[in-house]
Amino acid sequence: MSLAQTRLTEERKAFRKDHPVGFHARPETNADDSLNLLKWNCGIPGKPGTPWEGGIYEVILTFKEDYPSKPPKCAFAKGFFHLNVFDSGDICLSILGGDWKPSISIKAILLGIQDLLDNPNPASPANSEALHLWKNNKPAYLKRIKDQAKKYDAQRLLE
Amino acid sequence: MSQLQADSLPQLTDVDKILSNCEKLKKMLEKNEQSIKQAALSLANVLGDEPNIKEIMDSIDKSFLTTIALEEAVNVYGGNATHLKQHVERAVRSPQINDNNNNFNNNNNVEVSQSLDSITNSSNMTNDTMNDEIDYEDIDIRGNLNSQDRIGMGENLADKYLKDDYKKPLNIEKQKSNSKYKDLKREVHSVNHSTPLDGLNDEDEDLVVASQTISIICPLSQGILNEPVRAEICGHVFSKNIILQMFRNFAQIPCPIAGCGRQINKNQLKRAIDIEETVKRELRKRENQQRRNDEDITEV
Repeated sequence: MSLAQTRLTEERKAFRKDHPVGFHARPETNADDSLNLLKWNCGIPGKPGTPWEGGIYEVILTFKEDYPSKPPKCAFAKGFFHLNVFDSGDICLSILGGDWKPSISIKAILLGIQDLLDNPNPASPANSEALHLWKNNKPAYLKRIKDQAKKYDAQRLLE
Repeated sequence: MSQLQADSLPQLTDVDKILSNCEKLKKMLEKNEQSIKQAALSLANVLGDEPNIKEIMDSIDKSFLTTIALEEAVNVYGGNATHLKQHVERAVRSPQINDNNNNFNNNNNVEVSQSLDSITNSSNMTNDTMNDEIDYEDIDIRGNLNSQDRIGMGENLADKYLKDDYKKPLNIEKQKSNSKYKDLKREVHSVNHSTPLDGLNDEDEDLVVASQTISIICPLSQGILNEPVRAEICGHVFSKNIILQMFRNFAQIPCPIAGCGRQINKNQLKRAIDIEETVKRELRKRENQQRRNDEDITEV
């Protein structure tokens, strides 16, 4: 088994045994019911007391065989509204780029993304509209976030 | 170079023979060391911590100490021979041998000769295992050196040989502080005990640790550490085969631990014996726990 597969198997065990409240993370199931360890469907809850509260935001982690030397690609759904998320959904976060370290667990990645939600980094914006609203029209920005939270909450109820 | 001077030097081929014998001895001793260790571990494993195996353990300890003392002697001896070889080579190359150089050579010969003697002693002590494989011609060399030294340095040197008590028996007591011996004791101890053996681990003597959580998980594979190695520069521990994979073709990589900015070198990874033991102990504990759980179930 390759290092990527070994590590992902252990990550799965660890996450099943112990994970932060409200989060979920599981590898995708193939057509033949086997697991595709290279693609994980995860859910990140918005922190209580922030405009993100109530929503559970779906994130897809895509690993390659160079993991854990290289970070997984982490993406929200297309069109996700966040200052540091590209239109494609790709997340711009230092630990998922240059600051990646092989010891960072999936749990830590998800917690890092949760933290990013309410702590956007205007120094490396990925969404010009979000940046503009965040700088010039905070109420409109917050409304967008809250609407999005409702949308993701509704989605969860439908599932 | 005059005929006399050339004669007073040992032949390079002879020195080479000594060196190759050294290598042979070293390999044999290492093998010996391994098998003694193996024997001690299996004994502890099979018989447990019974007081009546103490005697056997003591004699095993003694053999082990003798072996490492011999190893040390062989190392000294090999070192001297290498030294001697360099001097002979230099002397052969340069046409003029000054007095100093000659002196040095002779001093060296004394050392080599002494080492040879201790080897002779040692060899006698372990005759049964080693007799067949050693080329005893090196002993003849010693005889050679003796007579030639007399030519070179006069009788006072010969007297020195006779007076000096260089034929001391091996000091095996001294070897008790050898790290190899400590490792043996520690490993044997951990077979039947769940707490580490105190007193032998003198490395952290000054350090008082109230409580400490040691992870037995490899931060890279997130599985249980396998052959743990420690990066000397930052102290982080990884499974050997996993961290080696991380290096790929590089000699140096940034430490894979988040928050650690150190660069770690492939050749600065050292076996982490302490962690190795912690892992073994923890696994044994879990196994016992498992067994106990199984027994409980059968009882029901």
